[in-house]
Amino acid sequence: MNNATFDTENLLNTLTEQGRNERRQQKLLKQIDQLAKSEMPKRRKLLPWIASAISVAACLLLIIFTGNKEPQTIASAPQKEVLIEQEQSAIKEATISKSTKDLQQRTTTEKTRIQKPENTSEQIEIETTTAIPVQEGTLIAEAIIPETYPQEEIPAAIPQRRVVETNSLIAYNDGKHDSKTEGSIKVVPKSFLGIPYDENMTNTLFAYNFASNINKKQ
Amino acid sequence: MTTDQFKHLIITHQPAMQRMAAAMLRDDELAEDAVQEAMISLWRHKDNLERQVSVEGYCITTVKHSCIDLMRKQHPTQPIDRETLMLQDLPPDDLEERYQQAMDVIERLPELQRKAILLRYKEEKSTEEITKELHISSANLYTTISRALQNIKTILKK
Repeated sequence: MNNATFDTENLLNTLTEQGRNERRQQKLLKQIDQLAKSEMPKRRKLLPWIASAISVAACLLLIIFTGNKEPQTIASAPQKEVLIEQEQSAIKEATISKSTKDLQQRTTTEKTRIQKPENTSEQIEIETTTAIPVQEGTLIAEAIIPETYPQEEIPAAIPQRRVVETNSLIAYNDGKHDSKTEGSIKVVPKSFLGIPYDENMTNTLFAYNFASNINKKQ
Repeated sequence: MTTDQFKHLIITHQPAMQRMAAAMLRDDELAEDAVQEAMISLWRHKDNLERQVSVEGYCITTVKHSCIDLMRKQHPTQPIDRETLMLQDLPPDDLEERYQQAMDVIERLPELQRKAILLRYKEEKSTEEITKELHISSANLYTTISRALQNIKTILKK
């Protein structure tokens, strides 16, 4: 074929034909790739499915765990409120003094080491933390005495104390004064005034019950 | 046979397969379908391909069978004409040679004209696509193509 017979129309048709052929080839190559993919070993085909299944399972577990926790949080919220209310009631009811002056909000964290009497040097540690208005006659602190500690020794170890004066210096009914601890210590035995100590109860709840009983008795 | 080897084989024999299918079916689109069917059939039996004495012959026979299947699907009651069934010789192909000659001419055109001609006639793109790609107006494109065709005529006359 020479240029004489190869006119413009032939040239353009040739270009079109070649272009179409190239596109057909590209299409075939794509189809071959698809065929090759579809013939992958089953294990390789399953891998993405396994990966997805694992991630779905992980998500479900996460949802289950968070789902379990959330109701607890929701449920604990009103319980907390109740406890706060009870704490406030305890403070009110534990107020024996008729005087309302010198109402102070105090926070106390106190550690008391009690030497076990008689023939043992074993110590118990009582930690009390309270945030309460300190008033005259207030029984404010609570402490948990270990079961092993002899109950009859408790009052002797730490005498019952009440606030008798509230100034910058806090005076207790046992004649002691304290400007540092800003509170008073009351040791609560496992069973006191007929109230059994329940380990499931919070200290606050126990203090509330305890304080209520004090009021009733007095 | 690996996928790449198969791809190479198909690209090598696709023009002949296409020509054979077009000759039998007298329709470019149907021929394309027949080649696709043949290719799938060849893929399924790709392990046999390596054992063939004439791979091209095997490919052509496969495409002929695909064409007959297509014809039967299209006209189930009409008998396939004997001439088509007996078609043995591959229609001659000079596309490669013609394309080379055409490109010799096209490459002598200015760059914009060359691009415009290839996009219009080889890629078969629309005016909108070409103007976007070349960043020219449609009026400018018509002028460019017109000048390119004039130049091609001049080159071919020489």
